[in-house]
Amino acid sequence: MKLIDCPLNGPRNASEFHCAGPVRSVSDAIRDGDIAWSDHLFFEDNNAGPVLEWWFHTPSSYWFIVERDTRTDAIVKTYAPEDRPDLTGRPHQARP
Amino acid sequence: MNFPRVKDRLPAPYGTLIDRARPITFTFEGMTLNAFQGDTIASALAANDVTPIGRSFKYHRPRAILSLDGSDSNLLVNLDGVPNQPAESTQLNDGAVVSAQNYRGSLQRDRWALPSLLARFLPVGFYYWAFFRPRIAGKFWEKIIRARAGLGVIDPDHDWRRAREEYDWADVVVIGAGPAGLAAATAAGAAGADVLVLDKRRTHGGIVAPDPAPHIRLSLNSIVHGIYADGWIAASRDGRLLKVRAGRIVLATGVLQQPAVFRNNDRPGVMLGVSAVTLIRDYGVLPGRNIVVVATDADGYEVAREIWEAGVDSMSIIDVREAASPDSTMAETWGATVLRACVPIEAIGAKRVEGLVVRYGGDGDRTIPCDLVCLCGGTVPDAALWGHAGGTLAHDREDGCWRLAGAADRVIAAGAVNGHSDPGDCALDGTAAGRIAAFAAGIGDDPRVAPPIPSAMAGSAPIIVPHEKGAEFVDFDEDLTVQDLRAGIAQGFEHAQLLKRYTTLGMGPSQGRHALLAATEIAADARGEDPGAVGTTTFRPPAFGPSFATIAGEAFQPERVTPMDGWHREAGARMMVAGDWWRPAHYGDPPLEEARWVRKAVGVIDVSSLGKMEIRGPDAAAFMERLYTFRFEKQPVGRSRYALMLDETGAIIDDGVACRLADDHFYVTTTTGASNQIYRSMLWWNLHWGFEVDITNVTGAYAAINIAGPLSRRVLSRIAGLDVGAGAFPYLAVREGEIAGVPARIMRIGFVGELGFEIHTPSGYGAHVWRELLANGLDEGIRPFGVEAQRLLRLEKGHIIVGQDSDALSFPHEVGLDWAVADKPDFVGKRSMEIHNRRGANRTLVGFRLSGNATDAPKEGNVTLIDGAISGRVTSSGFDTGTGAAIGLAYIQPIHAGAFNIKLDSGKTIRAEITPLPFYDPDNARQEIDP
Repeated sequence: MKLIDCPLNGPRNASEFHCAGPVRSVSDAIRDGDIAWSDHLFFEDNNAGPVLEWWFHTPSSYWFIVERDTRTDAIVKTYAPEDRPDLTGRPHQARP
Repeated sequence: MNFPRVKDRLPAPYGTLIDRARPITFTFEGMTLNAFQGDTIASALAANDVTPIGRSFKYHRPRAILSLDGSDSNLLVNLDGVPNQPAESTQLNDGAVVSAQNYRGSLQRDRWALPSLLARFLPVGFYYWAFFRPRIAGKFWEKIIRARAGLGVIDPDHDWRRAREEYDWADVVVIGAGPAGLAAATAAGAAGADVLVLDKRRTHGGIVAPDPAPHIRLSLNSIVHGIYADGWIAASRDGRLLKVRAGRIVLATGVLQQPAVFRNNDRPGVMLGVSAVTLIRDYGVLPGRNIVVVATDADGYEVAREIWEAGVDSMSIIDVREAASPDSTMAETWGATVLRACVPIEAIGAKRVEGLVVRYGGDGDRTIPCDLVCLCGGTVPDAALWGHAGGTLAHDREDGCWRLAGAADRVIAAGAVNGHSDPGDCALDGTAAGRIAAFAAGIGDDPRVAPPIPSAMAGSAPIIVPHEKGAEFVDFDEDLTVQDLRAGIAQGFEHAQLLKRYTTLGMGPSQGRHALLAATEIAADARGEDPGAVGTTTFRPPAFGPSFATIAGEAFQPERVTPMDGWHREAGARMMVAGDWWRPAHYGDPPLEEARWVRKAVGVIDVSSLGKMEIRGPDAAAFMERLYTFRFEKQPVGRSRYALMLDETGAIIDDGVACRLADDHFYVTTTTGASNQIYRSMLWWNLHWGFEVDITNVTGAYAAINIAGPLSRRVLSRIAGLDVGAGAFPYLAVREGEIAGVPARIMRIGFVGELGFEIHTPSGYGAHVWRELLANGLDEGIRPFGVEAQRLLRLEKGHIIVGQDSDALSFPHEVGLDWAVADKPDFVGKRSMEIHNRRGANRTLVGFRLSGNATDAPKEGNVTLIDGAISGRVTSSGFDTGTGAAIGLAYIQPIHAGAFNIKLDSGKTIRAEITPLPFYDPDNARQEIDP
């Protein structure tokens, strides 16, 4: 069983995690045409190589980002979401 | 047939694994035989000179011990009713009942044994051709194959119990407790690492320090089945599955001796040299007295010497090499006959070996009478586990041998598997590997190990002697001969991976571990290439097959029970599974009766399994507004609202009730099955939105009870610490207060279409409130009702069940929930829903009522038909609580009006009338009823 290095909990068995698929921009396609929107919903790049994915550590209810090489299934790096504001589309900041 | 008397065992120190003080008896095929505690089935049968032990898979040839490796299909037996136990590694107990497998009639005279003439009807690729074309041929063969297929017969009445699992961790796991493995364990332990040594044998094969460090654990009888990602090892011991996480793994599995390939090399009495040595050394069984050893390297002489020392009548060593070696000279001095440049041609003897025909120089063929032929056909690294971790085997052209190649994740090989043959070299290699492994696992200092000692292993050409009459077995599990492999290659399946699949080479329980050397050589020879160019197939788990029971192990599926679970069970409820939860389906009465009582008087239902989320913070309303389809910004405090959630594709994924407890505090319920998923998705969305809210899943923290029926207010008012009257507590109001003296959140909702209240109280109080409600409703005849009655009641009100009446393609407009969607700038699923709405619905969910009688009620999933064509399906089916007539919900084409047909399971078609929803109380007058 794979180990996943959770930014919050350290390395844990993969069975404790839930994968929610590749990280994608949530809002860009919403303004484009219907075809672009359905492409956004139903097509994935399916890259061979490093991909960014959302993973969730179920016991601690923690979302984070995993950079995984789909050719080798090796986990290159894991990121806390606040480390990648570029991917969540919204920087984590205190309310003004 | 008469079996010879029990042979005497060799004196100690031979027989290290048997306890001579504890004789036992067992039966094999009905014969009562003697053995000692510590014997395996195979060693006991060998001691009693019993052959054959089994029949081969395809041709039903008599077979006995080949490798003692624990995975030969020919040595699978039935032990005390359990099929497919490896005779080679399974220990006998007193009174054991053992029988052979894979024969028809008797083991001695197997009616399924194929005369060699008929063997041509089972050519290589038989299964492929039999089923390829014509199709009718497949049907013909199927019956015959099914009757013969498989080894062993499962007894469905046999006692079974669930196998246990065990989890373990170690900095360094050493696989193989030989000289290299034990040296590695000692070195890693000395560096401070926590070490676990796994070995499938019952004894280790090296020197253990008299007082090993406590953090070095030796686990024998432990079969490693596979190495998986990140140092995860699956093993088993005594039928228990071990899951071990290793920081680093030292692989010290040694080498696999290979047989020689010649005609009738499968005769009982022909076995690997190591098997004979094991029988002598471990069990004190001398498997023959007149012995021929077939050797191709120094290894063969080593075997010959050990057997010789046990005391034999005659020994010939057939050395395929021409040149004399120090070994051969030495063997001659102890009295063995050494024949150099000599090859085995054919084993003779019908049921067991009686002689070996050899071809010797220019003298032509001669027969050496013997009762044991030991095959020492060279070795290959036991590399299966290396392969699991990503490594490969490569052919070393220079030394003419196979070596580990590539990189295996977290695995360091040591000893014989790593190319060493001298035990001293193996130990040195093991020590270095142990230190490297410990350091790599983060223990101790950089060992600065000296460069690896050069491998001393010399390769040896495999012994392959094809015969015009065939029966030169390469794969003993699958009954594959030289001719079979050549035929496969000739038909174009020349790649190692194709050859395996076409011929089934290596697909038996022993995974081709004794076929590798010969098979690659035969393929290389047929292709005119180097064995390295042929390569091996990919090694995949399991290296040794565990039983299905072991794999199945324990199921750690969580089951959740509500705080009132004990009450339900005591009250005789029939419990059912809903998501992870156990819920009462009903309490013994027909669900329709329970439902009618709710309509008539008052009932209570445990709805604690509903998901419950707390949304708190300054942005709570904005978060709700964005996530759900309704409006929540202006929802008054103290009011509840229906909450519908879509996913990004516009499909309905959840619904519930949103209660505003304060300006900055919402309490939302979700469906029973979806609470975890909805919670996850709430957190995910807010990572992107960045609203200032705190989201907490309090599903297990609150018990929930729905009390419903015209008399519900009367019952509740007796134990409510707040005014539940119509004026103070209107429909859809939410209040916080005390019920039966404990804190509660109370919402007045139309859950089942009657006046009703839902009470949420901290879980610890759940059973108390439940009992108090029942105790205070005696005058009203309060009764509990289960999920089945709830479904009937909700169906009557036209409430859809998300996941049953909706599916992954249902959008609000289709199921009549467009009223629950607000016109607001954005919410999850809006973009897609708009596209759906523009395109119009493909189907619509309608209520229906049957004209016929209720016994014809359709089932969920029955298709709906319009003009004979499939239009949709029934999603919910139930009964009208008033008339008992069958009603339900179904998808049909949206343009349709009037009636449609439903095709029942029986094939009968019935007529259904579209009925406006809800079936019951369309004006919601029952909510204000106050008797």
